[in-house]
Amino acid sequence: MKPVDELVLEDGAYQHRTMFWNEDIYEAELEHIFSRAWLFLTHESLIPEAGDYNTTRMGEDKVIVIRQQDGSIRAFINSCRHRGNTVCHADAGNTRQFTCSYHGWSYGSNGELIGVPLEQDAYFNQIDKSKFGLQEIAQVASYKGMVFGTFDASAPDLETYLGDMRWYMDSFLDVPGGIELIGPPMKSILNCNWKTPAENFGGDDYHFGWTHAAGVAVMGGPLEMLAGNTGVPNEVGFQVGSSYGHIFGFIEGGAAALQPFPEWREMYDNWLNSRLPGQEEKFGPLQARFYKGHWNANIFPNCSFLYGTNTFKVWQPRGPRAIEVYTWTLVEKEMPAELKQMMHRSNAATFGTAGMLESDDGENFEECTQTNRGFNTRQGYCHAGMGQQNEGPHPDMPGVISDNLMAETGLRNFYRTWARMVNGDDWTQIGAPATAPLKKLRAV
Amino acid sequence: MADQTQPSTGSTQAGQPVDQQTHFEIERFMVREARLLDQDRLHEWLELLAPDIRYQLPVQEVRYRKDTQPIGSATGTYIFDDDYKLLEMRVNRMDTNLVWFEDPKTSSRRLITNIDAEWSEQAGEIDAYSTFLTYRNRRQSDETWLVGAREDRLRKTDQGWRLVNRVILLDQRVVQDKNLHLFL
Amino acid sequence: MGATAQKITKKPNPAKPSLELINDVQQFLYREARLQDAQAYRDWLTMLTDDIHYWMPTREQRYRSNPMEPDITHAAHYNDNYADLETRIRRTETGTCWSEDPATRSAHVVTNIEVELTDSPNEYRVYSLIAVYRNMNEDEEHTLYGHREDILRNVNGELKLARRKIIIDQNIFLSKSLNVYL
Repeated sequence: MKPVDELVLEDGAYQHRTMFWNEDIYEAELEHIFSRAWLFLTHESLIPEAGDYNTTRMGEDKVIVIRQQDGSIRAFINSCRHRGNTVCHADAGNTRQFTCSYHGWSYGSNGELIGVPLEQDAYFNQIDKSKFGLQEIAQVASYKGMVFGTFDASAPDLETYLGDMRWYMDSFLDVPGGIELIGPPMKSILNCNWKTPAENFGGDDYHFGWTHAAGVAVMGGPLEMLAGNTGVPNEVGFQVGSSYGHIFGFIEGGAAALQPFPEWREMYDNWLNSRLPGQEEKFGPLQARFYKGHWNANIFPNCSFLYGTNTFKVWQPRGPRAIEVYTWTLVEKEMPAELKQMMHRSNAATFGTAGMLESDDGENFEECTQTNRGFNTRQGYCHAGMGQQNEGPHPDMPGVISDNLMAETGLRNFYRTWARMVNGDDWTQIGAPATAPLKKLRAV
Repeated sequence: MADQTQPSTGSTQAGQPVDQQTHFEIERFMVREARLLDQDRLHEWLELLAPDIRYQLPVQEVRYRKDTQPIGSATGTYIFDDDYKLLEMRVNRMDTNLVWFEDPKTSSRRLITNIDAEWSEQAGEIDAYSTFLTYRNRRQSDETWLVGAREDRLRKTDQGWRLVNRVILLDQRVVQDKNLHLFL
Repeated sequence: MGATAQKITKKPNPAKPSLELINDVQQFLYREARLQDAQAYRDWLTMLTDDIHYWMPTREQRYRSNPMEPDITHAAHYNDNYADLETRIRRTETGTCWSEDPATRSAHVVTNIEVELTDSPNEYRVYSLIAVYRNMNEDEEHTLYGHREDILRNVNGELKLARRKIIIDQNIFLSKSLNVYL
């Protein structure tokens, strides 16, 4: 593996292409990123009752996330401590205990080993069950219903980790009644590196008008002007890079813009307008504007969402060249049932597995990875230098902000953080202000 | 015109197999539908749909048997949940010639079999069951088989049979492809 | 599982089956496939005769000069009578069949159906090709293809399956389990 300061250059503007292909780099990501960062697990609304559980992954580790009798949420590695078999084979359900299908060891919802068949006859009561509980995820926490976990006991708490991003996300997470995710998630396979969709969702507003030209053309609406790249008014929006690597692109007032029909846009707009005064009162107009706009976002490392279009995704890595895509729909809990159903249908039609816009992206993502099969091809660097001279701090809003929606501010912020984490930097360096350059690096 | 909603022989009770003539018509309908889709004749396919169509592909969560929820229950989610307007929008999108990843086009072959049809509780409508094996081939070597079943409601009209409802049961929890950009 | 099978007579009856019979047979096979996909095994059992012989012999790789027809005295994946099949189904109903919980998802695809009359006026020989797709756990996929040779019997006006021989196109069985009926 090349040294990290040869992988990411010029403050995040160049990425060496082996980063999207190489097995050693991928192992380093599993060790330094997926074993340290806070990773999205589930939403509280999907496991409301004691004993409700979801199974998911953290990096390549299979985990169970389960609501405890006292209402708290804990997470465990989904593998039996005896011979290693998967303990829970279901996506979701409700249980008091998990019983391994191999020899019948059973674990309580708190992860403790509570039953060993033939404990007296075969083990002569010599097994210390307290030593063989399911391996617990070091920290699990919920931020306004969003449940995350990290394997790193020394990681900063979740609120700190969400960093600058929290100030922005509060505008829509902190609504009366809160938000929820509609599940079960759709799941599909993409033969691409996990970073490609993460950078795309979080920081690539540039592709939208071209990649999605057809979908945007038939759906119409306020974003139609972007189809075919005929021009972008400056005031349309901007990008934000947060501490700890989170990023988003923001379209002013555009939350409902990607709903496929005018009636749907109107229904959603009416809802947003009815709630906006309350949000302004709570947060002030500067922060509340983010409630009414459209976001394309990534919470570092692999949790992406489009607020407004309301698709919510996790890109689960499966080796350096494939991912599993999980897709939920994000709604406000107090939305009327009709609006929630509309949200789910429009998400399925745009960014679900059969979505009109999702299918546009998949081919590009796969090819961006698979071309690196070529030895000579992967010796070069990818470029993300757009708008590098036109970004900086803002007097009233946190993070680093670009002058224009069409910028690669988000990509650079993502890869700066990637380099710090893979390099094994400590948490104070990882969480340093987003504008600080990584290191003084050689030019390409 | 004679009343064609009634079969020539046999019972038309809900749940009973349809007569041979009706079965033959349903089989022709499905084979023709498959060919129109394989040939990308999407506007002609739209003509086979009733204006009040519902076209659904539910997500089937993996659960233990004791926790199983009925497919398409109120809490469920869908990969397709389209009415006529959305299906038409999907077709119109292809007409823009801006769908880059479909150019060069994907080829697909739909093998439709196990066609079983019963009278429904609604006069002139039948419930048809079928199984599909659909092959897709894209670009150089991108290959996928999609396998599953369909539960359809078909209505007899003066223009022939029309699809009123389709529920697609795809036997994959994780879709083994990057998209489901096709009609099944 | 020591069912004794009657040798399926090979002599075709030259008379042609009626369209109605072909239709009935086709519907029978499709319905059977649908019940399998729905795991409605008890309903499937009602489609079998009491003296059913359900047989899926193993294959052996041999030189052309040294052929061997499958024989019921040889090893078989399935060599079941009614009671054997019922026992298998009862096992899946016990609640301790861990490998089948969560359930396997399957699609039985039946095609190439051919119907022949036999010397017995109530029995028909039916050939068909079956593809069974299985999807298990998170993303495991297995597909089996089988050539089937059945005897369907008209029992008081109702078709029932009396014999089934399934020849699979695999020498070494390529999946980790066989938890479906073909």
